Amino acid sequence: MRDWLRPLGPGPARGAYLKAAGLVLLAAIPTAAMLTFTPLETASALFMLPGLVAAVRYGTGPAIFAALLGAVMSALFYDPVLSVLVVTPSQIIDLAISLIVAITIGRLAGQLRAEMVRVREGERRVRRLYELGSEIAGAGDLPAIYDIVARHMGEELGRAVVLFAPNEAGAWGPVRADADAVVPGLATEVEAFAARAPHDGGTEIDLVAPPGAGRWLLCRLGAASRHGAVLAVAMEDGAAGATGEVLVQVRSILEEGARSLERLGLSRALEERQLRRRSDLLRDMLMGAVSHDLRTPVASIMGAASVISGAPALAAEPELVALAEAIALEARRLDRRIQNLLDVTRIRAGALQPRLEDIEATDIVNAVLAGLSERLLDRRVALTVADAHPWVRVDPVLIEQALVNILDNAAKYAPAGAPVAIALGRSGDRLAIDVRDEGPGLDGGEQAHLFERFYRGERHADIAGGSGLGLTIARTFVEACGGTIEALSGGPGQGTTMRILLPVSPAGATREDEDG
Amino acid sequence: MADERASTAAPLVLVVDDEPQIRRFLKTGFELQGFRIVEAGTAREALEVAVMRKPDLVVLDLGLPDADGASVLEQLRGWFDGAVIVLSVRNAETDKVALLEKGADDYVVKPFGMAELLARARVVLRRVVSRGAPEPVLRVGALALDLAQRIVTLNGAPVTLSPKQFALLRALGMHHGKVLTHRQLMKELWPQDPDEDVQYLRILMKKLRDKLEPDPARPVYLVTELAIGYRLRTQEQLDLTGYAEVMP
Repeated sequence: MRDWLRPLGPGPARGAYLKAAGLVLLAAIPTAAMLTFTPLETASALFMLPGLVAAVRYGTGPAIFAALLGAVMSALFYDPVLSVLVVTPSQIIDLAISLIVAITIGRLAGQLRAEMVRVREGERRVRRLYELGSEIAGAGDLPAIYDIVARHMGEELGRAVVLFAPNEAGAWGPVRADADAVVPGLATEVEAFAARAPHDGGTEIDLVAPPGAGRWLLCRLGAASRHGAVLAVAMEDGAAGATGEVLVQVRSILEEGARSLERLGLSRALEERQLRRRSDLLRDMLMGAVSHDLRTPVASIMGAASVISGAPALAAEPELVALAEAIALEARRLDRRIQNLLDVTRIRAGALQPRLEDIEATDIVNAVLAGLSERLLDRRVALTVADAHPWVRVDPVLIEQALVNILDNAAKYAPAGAPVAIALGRSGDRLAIDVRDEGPGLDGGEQAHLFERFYRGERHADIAGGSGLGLTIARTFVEACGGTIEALSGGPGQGTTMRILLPVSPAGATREDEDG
Repeated sequence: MADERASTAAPLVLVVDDEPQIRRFLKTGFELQGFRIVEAGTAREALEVAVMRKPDLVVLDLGLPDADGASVLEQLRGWFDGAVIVLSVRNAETDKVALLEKGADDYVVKPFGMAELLARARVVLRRVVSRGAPEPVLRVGALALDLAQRIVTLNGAPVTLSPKQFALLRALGMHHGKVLTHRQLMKELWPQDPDEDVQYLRILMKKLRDKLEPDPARPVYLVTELAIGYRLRTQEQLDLTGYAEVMP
């Protein structure tokens, strides 16, 4: 499409008619020249050309004007020359043909022009959409996106645009204070508008007139009212038509914004993030509540039972003392179960952050044995330590809890009275902690599923209580420290060995000589 | 059984916990052992009672409704020179270290048995009663430590320690039965360079255990508090553990 086919405004200007007249006058020159060698009927056909050109360039109106003017001009060349009073049949035919050509070409050119305008408008929209989209893509969060939409709105409309958003306390105020545009009373209107959610009969766009502040168009951005925002567009005191026009533009920008968001999948991502944040908050609250509401009574039960078991008055009643001790032990066991539930919640939330230390693995094992008294395990624990074993780099508290769970598990499945053996030594470039029980052992399937959450061997469903969480937690904790854990068994009836392999401390061995 | 060295009246314990049931068993538990008890359910109340009654020991729960335990401890430590035992929860090792370094004498993890708390209470009260001067000779199991004479014996036979090893044992002995954080020990042993790698301390401890412990792989005197520090057990603490039964 060449440049001379320019889009037109609502109607051809007066200049178009003047130019059409100019074209007719221009056509008179070759016509006059042609009269020297051709008959007038042929030469006057030249006067159709201005109509044609005007139709293409200026539209139907100027084309008809040019055709009529051409007919008048050609009449001037007929005898008597320079007189329009004599009308010949050939003149009438010329005029008719000129008009038909002018109207037909004018209509065609008009359609072409309209098509062009649409194409260019489309191009502009796509470019605007692209700009808006790429800016939104660069924005990190919803407020930034609202800000971009507000800026585009201001540029497109050439009007004052103020973005309103709620603060932490839920009160609405302008975000980017364009000082001259902020109007007292507007915030109140915005807050009232925001409170009327669309599903409660409110609208996406509303026109308000705060006292003494002119009229403002309010547009809702974002669905959730807590994370939403409101755009206020200043309206001039104009006719209803102007308002309608602005409304159309505003709607198109809002739609473009929404489309860009949708196209980028951002709105969903942002919603998901907000949802996640809310669920994190809920989880933390829940954890706090569980921690407090379940563990406090357990602590009271255990404490009270321990006071009773140590009471001088019961010194001569060993059976009652044993009962009180049993209450205390069970309370401690219950507390450990609650701890496991909390640990799983922590793991699921990805809140596990190991604090690695270089430490002797025996320190961890001994802490486990000190905390988990043998009475609690109800069996003997034999510990063997290889003379030369490397230090480890782990989070000692996580490994301690992993070991407690493994010992707990061993004690649960091994027959009463059978000892549990812990062996500690080097295995390749790692430190191995083996926890061996004389229990029923594992078959292949059990070995594969042992560490899955809530897995409990079907063969032992009758004998062992517990949620099956212990080993899952143990594995997660060990792996969080860069270690591995596996279950080894010769098969059913052969007992089970849980092997924990931990990363060795890179510094441990080199500083053995240090002693001031 | 009250501490024999407490020549005056039975020690007064201020129990600070917002849970009435916890206060209840603590009250009975302490009173059965001859202690006197005052109670407080909030931080504000605790500070008021502490000023009015001047307890020998404060048992401080960290989950108070009106203030966190650390701030109560800080306010107490401005003027209060009695003992403080903190009631803590699991998975809060950094909090425990911070509290110990802010002046708590020891901590007990909930849930706990009364015997455990009483043992800790006796240890920290002994320090308060004797105003920091340790017993002339510390004894636990086969180990005897004469701080004044700088003599260490095992089953009566003298043990030779390097100066740093003795310094570590002495630091723990000065606070016999109490947990000392890694940093507290580093400050004691390397005063000019307390932020040096804790690894030096661990290696030093390993060597000390090799010389003093019947089974260094399973220490009974010099015990580790994971992620916190070390403790030299008292005889009472040693008796409380089930260790003796499984020792070879």
